[in-house]
Amino acid sequence: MVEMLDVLLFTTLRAGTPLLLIVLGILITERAGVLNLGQEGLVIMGAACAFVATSTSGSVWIGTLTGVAAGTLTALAFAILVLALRANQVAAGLALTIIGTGLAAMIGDGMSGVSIVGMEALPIPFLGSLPLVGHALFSHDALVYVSLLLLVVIWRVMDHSRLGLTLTAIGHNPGAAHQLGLAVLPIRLMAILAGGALAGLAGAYLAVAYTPLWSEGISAGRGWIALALVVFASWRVFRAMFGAYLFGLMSILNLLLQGVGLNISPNLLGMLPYVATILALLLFSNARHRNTTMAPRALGQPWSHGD
Amino acid sequence: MTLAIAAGSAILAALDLPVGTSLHALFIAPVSDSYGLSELALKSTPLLLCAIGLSVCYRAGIWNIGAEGQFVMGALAGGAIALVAPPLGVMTLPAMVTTGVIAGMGWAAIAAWLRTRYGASEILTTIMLNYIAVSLLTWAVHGPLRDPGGYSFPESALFESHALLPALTESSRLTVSTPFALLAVGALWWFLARTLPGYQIAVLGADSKAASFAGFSTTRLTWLVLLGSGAFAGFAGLSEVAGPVGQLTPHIAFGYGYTAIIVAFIGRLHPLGMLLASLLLALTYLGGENLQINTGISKSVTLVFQGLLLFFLLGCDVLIRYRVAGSNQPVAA
Amino acid sequence: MKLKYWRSSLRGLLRTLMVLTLSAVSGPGWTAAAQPLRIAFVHEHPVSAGGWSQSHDKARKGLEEIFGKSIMVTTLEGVMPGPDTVRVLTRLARDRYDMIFATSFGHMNAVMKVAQQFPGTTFEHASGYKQARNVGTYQIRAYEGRYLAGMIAGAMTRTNQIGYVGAFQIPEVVRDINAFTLGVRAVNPAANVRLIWINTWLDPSREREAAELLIAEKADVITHHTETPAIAVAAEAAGVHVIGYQFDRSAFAPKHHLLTVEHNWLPIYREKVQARLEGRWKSNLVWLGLANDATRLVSLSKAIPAKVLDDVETARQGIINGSLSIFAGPLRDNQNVMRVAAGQTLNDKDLSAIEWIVEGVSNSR
Repeated sequence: MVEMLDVLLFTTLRAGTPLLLIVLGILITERAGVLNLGQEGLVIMGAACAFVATSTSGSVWIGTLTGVAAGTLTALAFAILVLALRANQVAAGLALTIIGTGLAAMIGDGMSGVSIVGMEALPIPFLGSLPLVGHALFSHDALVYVSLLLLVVIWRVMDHSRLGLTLTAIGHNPGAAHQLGLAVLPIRLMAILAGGALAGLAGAYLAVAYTPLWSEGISAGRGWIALALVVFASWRVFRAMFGAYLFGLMSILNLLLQGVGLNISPNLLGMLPYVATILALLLFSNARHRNTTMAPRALGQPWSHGD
Repeated sequence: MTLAIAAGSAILAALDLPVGTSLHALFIAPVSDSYGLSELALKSTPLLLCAIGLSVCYRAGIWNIGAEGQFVMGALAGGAIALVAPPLGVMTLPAMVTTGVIAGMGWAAIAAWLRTRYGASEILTTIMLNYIAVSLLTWAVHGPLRDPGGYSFPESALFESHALLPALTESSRLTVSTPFALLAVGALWWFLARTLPGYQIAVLGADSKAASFAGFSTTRLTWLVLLGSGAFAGFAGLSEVAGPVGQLTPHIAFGYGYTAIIVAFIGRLHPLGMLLASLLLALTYLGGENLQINTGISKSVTLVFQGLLLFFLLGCDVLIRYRVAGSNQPVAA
Repeated sequence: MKLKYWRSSLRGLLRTLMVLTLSAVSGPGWTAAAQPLRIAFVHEHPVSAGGWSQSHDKARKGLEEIFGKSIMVTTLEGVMPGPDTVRVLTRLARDRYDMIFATSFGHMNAVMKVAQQFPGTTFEHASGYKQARNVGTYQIRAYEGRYLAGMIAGAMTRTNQIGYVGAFQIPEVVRDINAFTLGVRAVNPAANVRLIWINTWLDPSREREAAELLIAEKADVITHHTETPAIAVAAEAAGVHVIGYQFDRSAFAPKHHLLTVEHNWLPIYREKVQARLEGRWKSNLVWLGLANDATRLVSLSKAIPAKVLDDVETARQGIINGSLSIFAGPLRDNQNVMRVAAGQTLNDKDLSAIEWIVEGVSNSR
């Protein structure tokens, strides 16, 4: 029983990591007021490029960095569309998904039969041998630790630094921010690129550490789930973390519950994570805030100097 | 448009592929015969139907991403009538259509209720509902609605002929949904230009403060646009399964609900624009298949082409609008 | 009148002689002056996705090697079941393709529809159950290979726990699970097969998660009925044995790969194309197995003891010559209901629709 808990905790942490990374990226982008629905495209691009790079160079770290770069560059294309050309963000994001998926498939063509040596587990020297939680918490591969580190860094920056507060202000009222002399477009650009980098990192993690394989279906809709989770988290960093791991847990439970003697159709069980997310959202909703959401008020609206 | 073709040609050339033949296969060949034209109309119909419903939501600032789920529920509910209801004879089709529309509306109503009662963002809820709808569909075709004579495969029986939408012509697969979609285009135009709620949506759009100031309840508005959008998506789903598909399978979640979002925006939420956009997008699908048949280019290239087309259309579209309409345009996204 | 009759029949005779001579001279039975046979393959998933579609494509390459210039092959991938398939098949038929292979179950009804409109085109559908005058079906008796694999799994397990990651609960998958388990229990009655359904064919992360859960539950041999090599990778990382499926997976688990139950579509395709070229094609249901090498065990590990391999070979011969019937009763399902009485066995029709899971497999159903 204790062992199963250990396995559950371990797997949840791993399963939640790519979601956490994507969620953090979306959080930054949306807090700056930009709605990027193209997450699937970013993640898959990151995965494909990371895998190809790892396979050709033999180094998982080169692969990871390549994945991050791929995500960032792809997000740059999106940034040009929505910041410079003021295109509609929803449509641009969807176009990004399509291009990203297609390009990634082209890049990864023929790589499904290739095997690589994935990222090794990196147990932390003393903590890794702790009873009970040692394995589950401290024997992961490096990127899991990186994701947790990023979580803390992003939290500090977003909520406790000048940059973060500026970014949030821009997300609520870019016009006023501009009046105050804040650099709206550059900061939004940075936010979009950061989002792309994180999504690319998530993709790299999937392809280079988690499975590690390349497959066109490797992202499995995580980009969409993450978009919903950010809303669920009311754009707050630690709630986002909670949401990501909760979702990871739910999807594993779905597999685990199959042996317990419950006679529920696996298809219905598959609904579990999605229903749980809606219910959790309801539980967290506050009657006082019924008509005012925590959303960045200018989310999704383009802005330029002339406004 | 030209930029997209230019970029696409560059990619084709880089891949050592014949540019001229490919472009021909992609854009011209699919519609070079009457079968192709009818298939174009067939493919664009569900896109257009969903887009019409979505456009009203978007104009009102309601970010309904759930057309996919509403489509699936319409198909599932209407299909269930065809499969399990007692023999209704000539009333079968009307019952199916009504059920499909109501199911789509009902699915959207969940999002509307969650939004108005709990302030839950419709982006989140509709995305989640999409996944739940697909799970319900898979459960149904694996379970209660599975074809008993189908060797345990997860598909429903084929619908009987009285439960199928009749084809419009001998040689095409078009059904009544296509002319209905065209009517809907006209109806939408009339709604936006000539009725009070439509006018309010068009003018006030996402500005809820102004809307309430004008005496327009945001709650009522939310319900209205979501139910309407759900109705259209549900009908689209029903007409697909009672039309070209003819049964319920796990594959009915074609992704039209998502593509329709693109159609809506490329068509600038305008009825005529969306009509053209749906045809263009349908053309890229057909062209992609053709490209594979004629040149052996893998499917991923056609996806890239589609995406590039959209990218450039969006980019250039904005440039044109920017120049024509002047600099200050408060766009309600 | 008589003269005309003699002349025309003489002409006919000469023509036949000419054809016969040319056929005898020009090799595997086709007239040298004929156009190449236009063949199209229609796949639901990308060919490079590494599983089902790829195994078909491997056979396609084999076909091109055997038949060379007498056939011309086009491949389409990403053709989703539904109205799109009807359109694609119609296009192909209109483009005068002679023979169209649709490789995914979901293509079945589309194939039937289009075949009706194009009686001159030959259609073949993999894994389906509907035929017509111009529609044949074909499938591989992978369950025969699975039985043998199960024997090896049963012999190699130390913990008596064997893991199985399945996609969907459909006959094709259930058959394989049952045959595998029967093989396991034939050599090791104490062993248990633990099954997890992941409800998708192609999602490496889910496959990996399921594999890791099974390994956590002490499975020391795992196998799968999914498309990607994720199970193999997971097994290698955890140090447990893996049995691959569809396509040789040894590259992904160099140290722990026991064997792969490989699909070999070439015997089926070769026969069908040959028949079509020779003009003797008829619609039928082809279901080939071990006897024709359509399913085979590849990349057998050196770690498997010779005794085990001998037993497997004996069983293999037994299946081929009919002395060993995999599904011979008495058989109970895992809810303890008797499904096959003593002295009876399952015929092809039963096997095509099989839904119940045999005793020895633990899962929620």
